[in-house]
Amino acid sequence: MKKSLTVSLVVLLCFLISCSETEKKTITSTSVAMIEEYAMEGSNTLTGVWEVDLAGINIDNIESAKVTSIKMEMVEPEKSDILAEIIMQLAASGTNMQRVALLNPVPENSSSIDLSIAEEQENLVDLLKQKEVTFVADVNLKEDPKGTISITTVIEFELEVKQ
Amino acid sequence: MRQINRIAIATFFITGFSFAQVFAQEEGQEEEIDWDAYGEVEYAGGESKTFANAKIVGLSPARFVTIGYEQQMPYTVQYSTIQKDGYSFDQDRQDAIDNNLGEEGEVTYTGGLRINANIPVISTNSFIWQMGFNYMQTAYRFSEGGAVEGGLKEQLDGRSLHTTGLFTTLYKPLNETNFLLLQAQADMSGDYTLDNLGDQYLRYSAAVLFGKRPHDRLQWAVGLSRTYRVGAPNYIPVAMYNYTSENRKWGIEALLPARAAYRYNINQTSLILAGFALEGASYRIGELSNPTDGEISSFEIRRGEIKARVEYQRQLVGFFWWSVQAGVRIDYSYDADYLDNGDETLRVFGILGDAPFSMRNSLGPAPYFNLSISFVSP
Amino acid sequence: MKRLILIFLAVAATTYFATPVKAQDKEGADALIGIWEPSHGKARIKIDKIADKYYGRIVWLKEPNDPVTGEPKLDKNNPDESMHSAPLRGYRMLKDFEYQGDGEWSEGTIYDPENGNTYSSVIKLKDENTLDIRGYIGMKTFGRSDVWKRLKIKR
Repeated sequence: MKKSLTVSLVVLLCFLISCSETEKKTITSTSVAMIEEYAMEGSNTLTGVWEVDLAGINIDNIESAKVTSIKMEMVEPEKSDILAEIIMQLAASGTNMQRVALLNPVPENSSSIDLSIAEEQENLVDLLKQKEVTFVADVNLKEDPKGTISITTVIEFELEVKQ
Repeated sequence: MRQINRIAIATFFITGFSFAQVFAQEEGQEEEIDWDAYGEVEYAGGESKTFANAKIVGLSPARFVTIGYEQQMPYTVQYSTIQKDGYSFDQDRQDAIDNNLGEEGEVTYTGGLRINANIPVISTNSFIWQMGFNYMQTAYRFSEGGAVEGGLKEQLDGRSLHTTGLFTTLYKPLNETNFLLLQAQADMSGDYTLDNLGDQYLRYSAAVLFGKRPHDRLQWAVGLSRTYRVGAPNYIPVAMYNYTSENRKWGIEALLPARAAYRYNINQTSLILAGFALEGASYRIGELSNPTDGEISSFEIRRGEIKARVEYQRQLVGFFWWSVQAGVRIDYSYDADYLDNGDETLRVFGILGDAPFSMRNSLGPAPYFNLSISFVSP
Repeated sequence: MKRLILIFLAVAATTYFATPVKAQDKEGADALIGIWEPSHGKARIKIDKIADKYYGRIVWLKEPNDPVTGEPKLDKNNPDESMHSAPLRGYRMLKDFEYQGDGEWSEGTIYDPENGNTYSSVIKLKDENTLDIRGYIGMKTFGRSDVWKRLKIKR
């Protein structure tokens, strides 16, 4: 009796462990153009919309999601030396805005930029459940760029997906 | 200079929340302007009106609700005999006790629950009104023997003294730097229970202060108060001084004579306070306070004590903080007055009167500790 | 059956009348957009709309530099240490406000860079150029209100 109880407990434990097993997967956003049409010296906000594409992964199977990398490219590289700092956030109408990265200071004359990812991120699953996610970059500019400023952005997400 | 109003004067428990206080203008610092597009603006409608903030930066968190427990370690006591007007004001206390010793012994347990709530009714940048409630229990247990029938020891042993109070605080900034602060309090102190609660226990205290807040790291105020803090009623000047150093690492929080502390900010979620507090009330105690001559006249114990202490405060989770306090309780007064026909005895350190005492009592110093959890506004 | 028809009519009527009100109110919702000055006058906050919600960021500081270091002020009190180098100018201190109708936006938060705390917040439009903004902890009573005034850029 005692032995059969132990066996069933072990079986139950194995079952529970197998149920909770997840694997890490990575998805990458398309290259999103973030634009501020009337940029000026000082504080500006660039936004661009990503049509969420989970590369065939069922959203219900995603247990957690976080940003692991953000790469930016200045559309007009000659304006790259006026970037002072960048804070990057993700927003969508059905959930709260999440701050995911920052760079201060932006290295001079770098048209390709890698942001520092926030150590503490909330689970971004709710964000990925939305049809569209707005990329929001708050950028301080050292001088007036005289017109539009545009940055293309690619974000890499790491997902914990139920097997 | 313009300032956002931050809330909370530690000693008066004005609490609230603050934001954007970071835009601090430091004393003597030259004004710097950001000459980008947002630097050149005008009001679309009416102008902002700036009022002195109730808080300064770096203060220990203001407490909305606190629940705590306090206990004193064992100490010795000496009570004189009870004599209606037996001990003149000028007579040395210890002499009076030595010549008329009624009881002596050891108090093995002194402690109890403490609750404080402080709820904002109106809280804006131009006016703050708060209502508060406080409850303090002090239970006593004595070592066996030596009690005189009907004496203080017998009255206190195994029983609790309570202080229950309601208070209200008003903070009114007059302009960018000047402010008025008013506090009124009604307390009931004694060994009452819900059954025998009556207005004979009621005691009123109040304070009014005028102050200045020259910059975001300093505020001070001076005023007058009626207080039972040293046991018997007193009219005394009060002074508030709150200061935080330029690097925000240390400061001073003082409301003299009630309390003063040096503050060391370890980080945003923990700090240390080292200083003293004066605590007390006037207690009606059982048959001692209601002698045979009626219900109005009474003996009251004027408890006033100084607490030299160190306190560590730390965030528990979110807006809940815990605190541990340790120090020494030093007796200032545990004497008794006879309130003939319920009339208060007013001495104010001998300036306004020299009414005799009815009992002279002495308590040995005792180490003590206090543990509490608070819901705070950082 | 009669009851079912009544319910159907009630639902239809609600939908019919509710839709135009909501569309009309869209203009009211956007009344929050603009540049605002808290009563202390030491900062200017620009509120804009992103993905149907309202956000406010610090666009100007009276004293942009830290008095101790002389460098631009940073978000050094943020509970997330990796964010300590974020500049305060450009900082998004109002987040996720949703319009509730009748000149009120709620469900949002306000961040206090002074102590790194985030408070629940509700905004009311007192008149077209005045906001009543309240930050609170848990319940609205544990909070404090401030008056913000609308600014316009001199052209």
